[in-house]
Amino acid sequence: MSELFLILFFPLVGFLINGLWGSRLQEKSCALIGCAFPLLSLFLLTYKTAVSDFYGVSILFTWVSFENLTIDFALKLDHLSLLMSFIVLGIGSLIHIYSTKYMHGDQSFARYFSYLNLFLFFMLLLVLANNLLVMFIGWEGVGLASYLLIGFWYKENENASSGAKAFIVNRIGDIGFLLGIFILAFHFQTINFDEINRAASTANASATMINLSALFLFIGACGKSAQLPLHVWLPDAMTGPTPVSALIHAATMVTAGIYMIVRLHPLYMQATAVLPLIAVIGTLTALLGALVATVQSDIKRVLAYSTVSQLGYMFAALGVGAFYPAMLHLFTHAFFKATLFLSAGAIIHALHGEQDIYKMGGLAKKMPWNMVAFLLGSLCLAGVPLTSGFISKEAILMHTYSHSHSYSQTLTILLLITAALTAFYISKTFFLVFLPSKNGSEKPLHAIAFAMSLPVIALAILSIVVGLFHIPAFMENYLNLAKSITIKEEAHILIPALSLSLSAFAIAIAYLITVKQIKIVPKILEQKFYFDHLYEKVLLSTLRAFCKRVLATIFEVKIIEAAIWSMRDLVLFSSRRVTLLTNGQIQWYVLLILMALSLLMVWWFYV
Amino acid sequence: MFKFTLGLSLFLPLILLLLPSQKERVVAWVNMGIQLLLLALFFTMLTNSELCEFSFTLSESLGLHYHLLIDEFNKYLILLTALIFPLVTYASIDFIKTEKKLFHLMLALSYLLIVQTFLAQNLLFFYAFWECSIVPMFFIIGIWGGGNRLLATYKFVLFTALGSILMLAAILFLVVANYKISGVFTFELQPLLRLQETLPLSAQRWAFLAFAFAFMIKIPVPPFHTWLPYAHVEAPAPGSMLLAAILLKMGAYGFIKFVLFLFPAVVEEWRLPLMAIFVLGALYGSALAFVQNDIKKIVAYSSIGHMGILMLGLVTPSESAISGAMLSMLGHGLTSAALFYSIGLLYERLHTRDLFHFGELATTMPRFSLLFFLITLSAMAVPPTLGFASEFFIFLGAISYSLKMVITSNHYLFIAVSGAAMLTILLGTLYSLRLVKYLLWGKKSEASLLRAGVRDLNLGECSVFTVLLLFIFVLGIYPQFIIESFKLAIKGLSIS
Repeated sequence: MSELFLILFFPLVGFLINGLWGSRLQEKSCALIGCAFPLLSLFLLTYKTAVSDFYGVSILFTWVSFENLTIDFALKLDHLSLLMSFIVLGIGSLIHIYSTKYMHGDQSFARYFSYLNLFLFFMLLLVLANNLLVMFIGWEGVGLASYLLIGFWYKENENASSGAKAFIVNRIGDIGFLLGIFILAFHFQTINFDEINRAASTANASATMINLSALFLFIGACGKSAQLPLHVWLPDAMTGPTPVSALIHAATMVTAGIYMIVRLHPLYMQATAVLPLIAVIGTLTALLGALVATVQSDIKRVLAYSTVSQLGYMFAALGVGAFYPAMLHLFTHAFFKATLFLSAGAIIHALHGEQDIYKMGGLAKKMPWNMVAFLLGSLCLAGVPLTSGFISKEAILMHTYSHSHSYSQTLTILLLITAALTAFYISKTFFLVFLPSKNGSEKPLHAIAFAMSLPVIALAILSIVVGLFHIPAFMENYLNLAKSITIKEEAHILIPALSLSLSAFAIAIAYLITVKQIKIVPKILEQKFYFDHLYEKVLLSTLRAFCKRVLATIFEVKIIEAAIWSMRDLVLFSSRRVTLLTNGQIQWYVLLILMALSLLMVWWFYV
Repeated sequence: MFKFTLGLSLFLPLILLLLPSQKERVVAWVNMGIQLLLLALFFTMLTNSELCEFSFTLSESLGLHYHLLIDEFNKYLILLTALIFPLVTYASIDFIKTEKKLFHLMLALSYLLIVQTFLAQNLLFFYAFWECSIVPMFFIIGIWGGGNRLLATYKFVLFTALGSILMLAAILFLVVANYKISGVFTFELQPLLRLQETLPLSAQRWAFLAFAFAFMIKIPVPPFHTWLPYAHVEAPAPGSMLLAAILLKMGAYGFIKFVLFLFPAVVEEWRLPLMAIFVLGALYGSALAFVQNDIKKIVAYSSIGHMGILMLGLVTPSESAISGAMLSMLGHGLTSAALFYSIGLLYERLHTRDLFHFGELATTMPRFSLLFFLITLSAMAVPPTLGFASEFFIFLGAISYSLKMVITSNHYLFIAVSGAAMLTILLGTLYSLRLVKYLLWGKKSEASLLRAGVRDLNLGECSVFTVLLLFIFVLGIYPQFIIESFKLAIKGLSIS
């Protein structure tokens, strides 16, 4: 079992080497160290999986032990965490390789790779955790790495702010996550996944406690996985380097919320009050993300909103109890979204940093390989048959449709509309970028190195392959998640027919408006439904004004300080009055003495 | 060995006094050398779990014993003191420019008094050391402080003295009451503990209020906190380190030792208002930290926030909350010392404390930026730091206790209070990230552009951080190491 810790700690070693001595090393050695450790982990994981079953729990040490709660620093490898580890390490390694060229020549090359390795370490910790605390350490750790990478080019104030925004929004979710942990610890006296899941299904588990803990953990998931209303950080996270967006903000970290819920799905199946909420939030996020994505002109922001929307799909699936389809969509989405981001990165790199899709155009001839990769990714995202995206998306739609609740029809319709919108914005982007147009700049392209093309193509092929050869069916047996829905007969035909015809229609419109160069941007979409406005202009500035005007000015100065000074004034005032008594005149003193004596006598005789 | 260690700390000021005042370096290094020796001595004593007790009878009839004892509650505070002092002494080599010998003398005096305060088991001696420990700090701020130092010392002394007087009254009251009940006149803590059973509750309440008031000023809990920002802003960097890392802990320690042990019934009765006061104080401090523009004030107000959460842990009757609070004393001690040290370093180089006069330190001072960032992680309770571990335990205990109250007696106010306490995590993130953003990131401000050639940290300065960070991370990753030894002590508190 100790190999599991090796797999986990290799990236940490890479982080330490590059972080501590990286600035003194050549760029090549930094890149080598940065890539070598994730690859080592990947190979070790593959090797161990191939030669033996090394599933199980391994405890490193006891983190804390109280009378009625013991928390171990323990890892757990089972089918679910193995699959996630492969996604994280596989895509992670490819993106490391891609980054060696993307970041070529950057001043802080070593810093970049150390952060990336740190991210992998925390992500593996999150995935391999055996209990909620270890998961939370990874959870906060990936947030930290993400914060550092979003603000990687920290000299721009905007980047520094985006990083801080991501961290703060995530922290709101994390408070929810912590509350969820505390409630579970209180109720079940354990925070180990297996024990919680077992205890949740027993009869004497309190439904209120289960629902509450599930709700608070879901708030945590909303933060990390960019769900309504905590989705605002993800689009801004695009200020980081593009490979980071591919790895952290599309393929791995943002799926942590889904992973956590799947990890605890026996608990969530008992949380009957929370599941509908998850489904509704997921669907609304999917719809809203897709709507906003249609009007974005920055290629990375299109993809970012698309990620928000696709994550919404996964949550919608979780909400109707379709845990396996959610996991499948997580799996396929990781590949095709990484493909899209990396090829977008190659485009941006080739165009010397241009990110506006309306200023691109005609790249099909200049970057044919990249076009193929982007096309494959787009086909998956749009859910065209034979691609992996088609399989996972249809699975979600069919499960939602077959769900027994009254609202599930509405959800299905909204998700179908989202599917059409998705096809629309991604094909619009594809046409704008690759079809010939007079907007494209004539500047010669920046050459794309092999180390950048290889991961893009590999991921593009993978994103098609994972939908073929019964891989989904195999995964379903392999993961063996609980099922609560039987798919209705008619759904097998109705759903694909509907979604395909809608998508085809959407693609046709996208083609038309690209050719005709129509650009309509409704105000509400341009303002992204006013979420940023609400948070920054209303909530944050109210908080700041409250702290500054009410607390710092009125309370601190006018009340507390003033009270203290007035006490001082009172003392000074009375002492001045008392000093008046000692004015140095004998007759005055005699008078005082006489008065005092007579008072004493009065007291003596009458009281 | 205990006697030897105590004797050494007693004679440290004398030794320094004998050294020639022209040889400032020698004074500094002797001071630091002896403090390191003391650290080693305390460390070996505490790890060998020797019986560390010393008692000398001054007057049997008055119950005056010079009685010192190391127990589970002061053990780690002694270690913290022994660890922080050499670092403060080292910092003062650069930061203190005038009257160096006098300064080291003050440090040695302060060391002596603080250690005795933590160790004293006799109420009169405790009171005497507690009161005297203000004096060196008064001089440190008054002689080496900033422009407005007189006002700061004025406030500092008046506030703490006011609290102390009430405490003295309460001590005398307890002693007399004990004499009336049992016929024994004594200032020893141990026999006085029996008063919780014999003294009527109404009398206990008054005594509780007097003690709690003294400690709440020291901790400090709003609205009795306004001396702290002044003192911190005006104090020289080593003084601030000392103040935040150790002097504030004296308040929390006193609260455990004299309030929780002497008046458990009153604490039980007033648990909800106490929790509410501490949580409101924590929120208030954190909220004010968010809008300050003086970086020293940000850290000062953040101390109020962290101490509030610590106190919430102390008044929550749960093993994990109290362990968390004990851990938080170390966590906040180490973190705040490092933060005030960083601010001192910045002030040395750029001669400003205005948040907006920095920027881009990540480029100009990369080593400083890395270390400072790691420290802020602990300040905003990001795992796996000590700051996280301690606050995690406190919140775990507080939320669990509140849920229990909801289930057993349908009492919803507890959960409201401890839920509100968790908002300090958010506020902590807000002010810490604001600090990081304006100091380390962004573009150089125009004010800092004028001063070219900022020097990054040298080896010595880095090692101060390294020592502090080592403890912060090791204890954050493996808190059980310390929690284990709290177990028995917390049982002694007889929580339900």
